[in-house]
Amino acid sequence: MFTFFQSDKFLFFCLKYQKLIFYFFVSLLVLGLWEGLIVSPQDYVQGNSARIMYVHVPSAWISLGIFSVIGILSIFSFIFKIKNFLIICKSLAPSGLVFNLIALVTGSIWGKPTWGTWWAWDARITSMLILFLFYFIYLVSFSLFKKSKNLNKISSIIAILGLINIPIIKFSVEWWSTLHQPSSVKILSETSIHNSMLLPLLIMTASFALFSLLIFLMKYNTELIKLRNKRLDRL
Amino acid sequence: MMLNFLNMDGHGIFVWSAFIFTIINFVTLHFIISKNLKKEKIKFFSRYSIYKKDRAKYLPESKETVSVLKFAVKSKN
Repeated sequence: MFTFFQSDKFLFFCLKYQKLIFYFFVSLLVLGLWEGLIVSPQDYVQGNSARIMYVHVPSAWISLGIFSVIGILSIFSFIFKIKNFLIICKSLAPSGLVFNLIALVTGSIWGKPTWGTWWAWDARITSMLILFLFYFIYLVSFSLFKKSKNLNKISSIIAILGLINIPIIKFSVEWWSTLHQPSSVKILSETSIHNSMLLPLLIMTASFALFSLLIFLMKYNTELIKLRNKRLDRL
Repeated sequence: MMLNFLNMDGHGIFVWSAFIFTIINFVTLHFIISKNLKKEKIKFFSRYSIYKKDRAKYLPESKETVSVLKFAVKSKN
């Protein structure tokens, strides 16, 4: 698999399937918006404001997922000095940062009608803000230490430190008493959300995942072309 | 009917602003990433065309040169 990522085959894969992924993402997004805004029922407690869940929850899940991947790849990159993992992590980070921002802002918007406040220094919200700072510092490190030999080391350490925050975010609602509600969708036990709301949530999650894949492919493609430009300069 | 849908029992302002914020972020991110990709591609082909002209100078071709050539030829298709 790693040779596939390193080879030209991956570049041609990007060029070939980028448009297909884009069209698939747009159609899923339209379907998700239709289901989330029109078809799905109101929440019996929160009313229509619960529809914010269809953008807030998938964004939070994807930003957490992306940082987990970045953290794990960074451990390998740090130990085995695999340069390609660094490029993959760098390409994943922008969409992760944007999804994290969306989760924070839409959460804040949802907080106003539900809790009566835009922001609370609650464990879940604060740990998500810390994750945002980690994303930001991680991305900034690439421009700050562009020419440094220790770029791989520095960025990997930032990602590994940030990885510690992931279980804190996940279990913050169970470890501390928070304003934020506990998870309604669980993999190992029964979910407490009705199917009529679960379906649009899953469709939106799939479309957001496709968008992050699309952004990753475009960014990874850009990074590989940058490397080729450097090689051409050397010729 | 339409106004009721937009108003969402007074929650419309919150719901619509959350969805619009998400879409704006998607469009902006896609625009920035595709602009950078285009910029790098243009840079690559302008450098590649200079290299192509003086190709004889660079023979024999190394593994790196072959990889660059393969990329340029295939990505143009």
